[in-house]
Amino acid sequence: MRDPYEVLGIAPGASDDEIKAAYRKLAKKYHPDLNGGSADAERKMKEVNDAYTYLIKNKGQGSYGSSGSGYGGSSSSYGGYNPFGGYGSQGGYGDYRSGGSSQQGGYDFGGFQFFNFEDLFSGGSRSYQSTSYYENDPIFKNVEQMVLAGRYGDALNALKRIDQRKAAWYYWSARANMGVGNRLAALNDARTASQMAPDEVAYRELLAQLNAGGQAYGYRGGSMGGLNCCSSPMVTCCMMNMLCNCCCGRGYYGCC
Amino acid sequence: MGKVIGIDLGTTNSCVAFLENGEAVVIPNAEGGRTTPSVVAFSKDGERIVGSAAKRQAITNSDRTIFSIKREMGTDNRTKIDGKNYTPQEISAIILQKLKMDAEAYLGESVTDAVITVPAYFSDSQRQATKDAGRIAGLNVLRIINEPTAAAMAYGMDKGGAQRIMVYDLGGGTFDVSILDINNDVIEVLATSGNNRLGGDDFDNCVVSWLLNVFKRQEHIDLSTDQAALGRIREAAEKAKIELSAALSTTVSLPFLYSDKNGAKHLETTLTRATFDELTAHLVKATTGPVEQALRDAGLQPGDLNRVLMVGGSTRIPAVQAAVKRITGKEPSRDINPDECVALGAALQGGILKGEVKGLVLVDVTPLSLGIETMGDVFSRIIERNTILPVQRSQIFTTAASFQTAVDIHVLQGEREIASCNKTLGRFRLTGIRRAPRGVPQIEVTFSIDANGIVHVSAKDLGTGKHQEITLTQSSNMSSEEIDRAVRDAQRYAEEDALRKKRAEMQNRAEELMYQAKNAQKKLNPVDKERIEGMRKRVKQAMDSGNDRELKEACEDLTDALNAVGRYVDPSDMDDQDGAMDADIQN
Repeated sequence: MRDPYEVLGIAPGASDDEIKAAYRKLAKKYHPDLNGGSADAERKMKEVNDAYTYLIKNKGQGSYGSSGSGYGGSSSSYGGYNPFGGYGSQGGYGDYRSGGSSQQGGYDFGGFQFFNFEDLFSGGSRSYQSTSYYENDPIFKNVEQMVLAGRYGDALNALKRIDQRKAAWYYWSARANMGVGNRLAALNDARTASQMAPDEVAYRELLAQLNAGGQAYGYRGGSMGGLNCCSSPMVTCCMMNMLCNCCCGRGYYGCC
Repeated sequence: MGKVIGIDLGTTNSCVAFLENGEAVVIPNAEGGRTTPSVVAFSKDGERIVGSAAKRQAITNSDRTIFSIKREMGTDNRTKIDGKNYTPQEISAIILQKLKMDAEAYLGESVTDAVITVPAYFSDSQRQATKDAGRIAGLNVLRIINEPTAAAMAYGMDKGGAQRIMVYDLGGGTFDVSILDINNDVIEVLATSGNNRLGGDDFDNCVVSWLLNVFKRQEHIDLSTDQAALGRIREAAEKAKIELSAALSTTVSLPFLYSDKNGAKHLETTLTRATFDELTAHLVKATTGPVEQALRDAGLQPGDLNRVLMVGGSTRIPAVQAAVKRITGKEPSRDINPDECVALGAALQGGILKGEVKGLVLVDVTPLSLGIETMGDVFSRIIERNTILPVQRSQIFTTAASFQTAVDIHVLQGEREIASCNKTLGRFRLTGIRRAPRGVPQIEVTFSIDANGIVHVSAKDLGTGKHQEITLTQSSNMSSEEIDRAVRDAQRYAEEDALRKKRAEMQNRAEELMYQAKNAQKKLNPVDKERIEGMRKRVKQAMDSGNDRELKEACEDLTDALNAVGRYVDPSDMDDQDGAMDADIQN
């Protein structure tokens, strides 16, 4: 792990202007465009970009640790352990689907359980954007974006301004705290969230992971069982199809 | 070393530039225009027409004329002409071919290397499609760069001091906002945002539907399905829009727009700027979201900007300028040519890549987030949008099910949280994972984007060291065989076009010769006169029958005969084309 200040050749605690000036100097030296696309220059530039992004864009927070260029410690620090979907324990590929969704029959409908029909068809601006019920509260939409973008400090600040502290508040606070490396606070928040909404799998899992040794699970959109608003996988499946149609039927541009 | 050209492949107009002594210069097209309409038409006899000629004939040939193909880039939509399905790449390639030929004619040398611009908000597949179009047109695309960035380069070239600028680029079909930092010859893109389906065309459409309504009210006739009338209305709408940028009101006058048994109907009305602004207010408003988004992503307040650059023809609309002023609190700068600066910037970037421009460097970002699909149709971002390039990022993932031995890496691009709502870039499978309870295997997924914007994804099982990777260089809707075939088709058409041109030249020459012969006959003795007359008839017959070789021989004989009697006038540049014509016609 190399110190980002060292990569940029500046003293720790350098001002933003100093960081930027150092970055510009290095960009002029190592940018692949100025080096005939050399692979060495590209590797060096990636390192410089990472250090610069860490210090300036993320203000010392976020995903420096998950960079692939040799920074940032253990793989479990911030990276997130997201489970891949769609593969059966049976090991056979016969029933694996190569379509747009990774869902497998009768299995793992997590994520979709959180949609309700009003949200799907109301045509409201946020209808299709949430992945789980705790984000259906618009207050947490911003927080979620910040956490996903690795702006954990901003997320914590935003959370501070929210008075209504539901289970979701503690969940996101836990994730943001986890992001900045405050594991104790994260553990406390995750515990509170889980106590307030004991049925919520995502909360429980977060707590379990924190207890298990601090591996930061980035995203776990729910797992088996616990279908909240639909009683059977068939209904969920049907909903999922409609959702896909809603989202994607309008074509790529309309949707994104 | 050949010259590199910079191409602004626009929705409605395209522009080409090159570097002359370190300075970017626009190359005029064969018709003398500095921009070329991005319009392709197929004439009734299959000839391809590109540019202003295609635009002019659009009204009478609307179903074989293709406008705004850029809006289709990256989609599977095909245009069917004469039984052949054209991909958007192939149509774009026809435009690029014309631009390339015009540049070659102007520079007097062959051109292969090019930098092509795309809207900053284009997705990876749209960029790949643009690259494919270049390849089909016979261009070696050195780099695809973002239009607002190119504009900023053209602007920032000789501005020494540190500046933070916003580029507001409202083109014919796309809208982009970029915020850039120019300091000490390093151009750094801080954030970029936009809307791929918002542009001048939409303003035209508003006026078109307004005019249709006016006509309907006046004459009780709905012209919305009358293609010929629509073509004229569309043209008038665009003209009215342009005029309203300078005038407060304009008259739309379309005589004989429609006729039935009651006689001809005309459309004559006045459109004021106020009405126009009202009709298009929602479009102007739609540009504020991306502006705010870009500011937010860059972590800036409007007050932090030193300058707002306006790019694209649609920024001439007064309501657009007023809106930009309102959002940013800055008087928009108009000291660059909004139609040409993008091509100029592209030429500059070409110069940087070729080492002709020293000291200047562009640090670009990726416009959209990249990631993979994880359990529950969740989009897990690995590289966030607006990340500086080149970049490499890794994340560790695990299995969703116990004893799962394979994972499908589904590579996606977009901003939606739901994986299936984002755009698939590719997929591959990592197999042979050691059987273990779910959550135990560690699979490291690494995304890497080089300075060219090419995405490389690899997955590695940290337990077994098994490794699988993919490089995303192909657009998803055209296989490399299809592209190769399109390249060959394009070359064949270029040759056919050249042959067609030569044939036309030969016909001209034959007519010229017959005219000379006719004049000469008046002053010749009867014997010569008779001989020349016979030859003249042979030329005429060959011309009518369309037999190229016969025509060529007949022309040569007639030329010789005229020479013999001292009556031949040599049209200066005919000789050197003869040899080439021989070869072509015999093929």
